[in-house]
Amino acid sequence: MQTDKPIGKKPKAVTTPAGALPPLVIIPAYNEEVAIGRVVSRLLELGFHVVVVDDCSKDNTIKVAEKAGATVLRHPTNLGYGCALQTGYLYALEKNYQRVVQADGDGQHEPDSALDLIRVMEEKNVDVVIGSRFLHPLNYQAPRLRRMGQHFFSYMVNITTGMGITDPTSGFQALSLDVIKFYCTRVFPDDYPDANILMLLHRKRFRVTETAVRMYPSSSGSMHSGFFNPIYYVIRMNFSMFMSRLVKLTGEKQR
Amino acid sequence: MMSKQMLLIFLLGLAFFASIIMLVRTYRFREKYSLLWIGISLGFLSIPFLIDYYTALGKFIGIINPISFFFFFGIVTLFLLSVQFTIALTVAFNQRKDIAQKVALLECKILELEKKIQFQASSNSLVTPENQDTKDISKDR
Repeated sequence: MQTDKPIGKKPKAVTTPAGALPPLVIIPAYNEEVAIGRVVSRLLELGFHVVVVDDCSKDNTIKVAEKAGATVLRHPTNLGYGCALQTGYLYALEKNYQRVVQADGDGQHEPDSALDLIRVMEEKNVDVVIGSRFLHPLNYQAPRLRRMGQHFFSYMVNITTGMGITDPTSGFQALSLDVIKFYCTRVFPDDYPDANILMLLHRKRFRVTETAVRMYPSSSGSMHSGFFNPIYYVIRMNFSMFMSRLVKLTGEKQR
Repeated sequence: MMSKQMLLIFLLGLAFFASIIMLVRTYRFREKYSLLWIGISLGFLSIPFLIDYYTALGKFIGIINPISFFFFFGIVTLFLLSVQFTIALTVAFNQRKDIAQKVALLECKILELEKKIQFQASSNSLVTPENQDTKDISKDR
């Protein structure tokens, strides 16, 4: 979709060659009625196509997303964040989107930053662009314990891959079609697709880079809240990162 | 120097650990359900090295014979594993049921829509038995 560029100002919409599809934004959503309408509307204004994968929400997430103009895919049962993401990838693959952005529907990710992800992907000709909250000067400060966890995983990823990633747990990423095809197999860790994913990308020799994005506090609760959840998450992620070094990379196609 | 029994336990633990890793590696075990098995195999591996601590712990809770101690905790562990898998099976059944019911309702909706489309098509066009070229779509299922 071509848009008129205001003279003297940076274009505030994604640019797409004639005949090609604009980038698709995949938003996995579970009980996100508070912020999802706003997020979807802004992304559509910027020229993206948007698909919301509803993971069997108990609130009005579906209605709000549909009203805002998104395509909505509905899981008949709650399968988790990773499975919802993969459903979005399958949709992107089926419709042959060349560029995909994944974002959260809780208002944490600034929609305008999706433009930066796509721009960096095209300028640097890479397969994955990770939006890093630590590279942006205005970002909010996460709780101390959370920051420690993020730095720990960053250290673990960088010591094994040498990628120099500052925000390995960021769910705000731009992906190429080759990466989407890779993710649409059993290799994709649909339980907790997080820092472990970066190790898989490194093994598969995908080109990964980072750019600064704006992030805000989430409007919904974190899935890692409570006392036992963070402990369980750290154990699970460490094991998953260990297994990422060993799993077969040629998993069967998801369908 | 390890005794023969301890060496056997260690080798069994190692084989067990390696099998779990291989099953996860080839996607026949989900990571989520393998953590407990990994913990058990690490427990096996630790027995030859920590046998004195386990014996002391057994005596503390009143189990004098170390073999009885391992039997007792082995049974408790298997019990907990069974509970975990029963929960997982229940969740999986409920999900399967929800999906099957939704598929049944969707199929019904599709058949109704097909009937509507066929009815509209036949009422909009001039259809006679001679030039009729319809296909019974429901028979394709």
